[in-house]
Amino acid sequence: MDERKRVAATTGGAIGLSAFASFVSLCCIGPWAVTVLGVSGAVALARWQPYRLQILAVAAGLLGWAFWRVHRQPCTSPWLKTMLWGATAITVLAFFADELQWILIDPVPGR
Amino acid sequence: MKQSVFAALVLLCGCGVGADYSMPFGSYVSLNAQPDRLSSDFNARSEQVRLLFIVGPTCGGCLAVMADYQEEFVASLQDDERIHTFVVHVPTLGAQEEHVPSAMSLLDGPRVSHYWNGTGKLGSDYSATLDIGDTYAWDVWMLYPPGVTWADGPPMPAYWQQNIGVERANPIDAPAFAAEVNRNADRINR
Repeated sequence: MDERKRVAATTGGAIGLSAFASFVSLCCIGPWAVTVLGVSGAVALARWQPYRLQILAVAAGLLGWAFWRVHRQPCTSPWLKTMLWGATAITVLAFFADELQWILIDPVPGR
Repeated sequence: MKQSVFAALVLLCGCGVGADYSMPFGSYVSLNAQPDRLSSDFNARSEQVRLLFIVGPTCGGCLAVMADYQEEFVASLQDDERIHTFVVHVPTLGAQEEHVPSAMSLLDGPRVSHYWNGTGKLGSDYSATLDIGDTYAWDVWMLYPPGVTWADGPPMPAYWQQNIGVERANPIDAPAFAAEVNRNADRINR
């Protein structure tokens, strides 16, 4: 496997795990999880909640590794860099999901 | 699943499941229309062990606990006339009445009654009962032995679990809750 493919694979893994971490972290912000994934999907996401920090830590590690490989390469495709920065933004948002919840919606009635 | 489909169909037909007084298996009562219905149903079953759960129908954590409790003990109690379960859905995390039927499927049976409290007042009332300050009482799972009645406000449960960060209260533990239910039910003669 050449270096370019390795970079793409690492970045893809980082992006995928970031997306998964975001799903887990953002599962309880508003009713979207039930609306989009149904009750079973929301339950499945909730069951990953105890491992949220571990998933985020692995995602951050993979992102760091992907960044290192991308920036080591002289000519990396711009979309790869864009996707990487996008995944980083999503991971950061996922990390602050609890705080975001209070900003985006009123979690409890009458407050 | 069949029950939730049935409830959804009736809602779509505009037949008003929420206003159904007979409350057949698979339907729910809207406390907006009948604010005293929960307390009267609760008191009508004062000789039974009663479980009262306050949940958000779009809260993944609540839904997971509902599924766990159903699997751990609620499903097996549906032939036991000594026990009745009340589930009150409140509008947390942006939940609306339309989310109730699908959530009901996780905790169902002929001895489970579901309610929708659109104002969320019950959670505020329970904050005072449970003495948890400003914390809104949802994702709380309570047990009442026979003899306890609902007077001016919600009565204090004999045992409760929660998932809202109240340190002095019991955390969610389905086997422990099942053990408490069995312990209380065993005091009643069949």
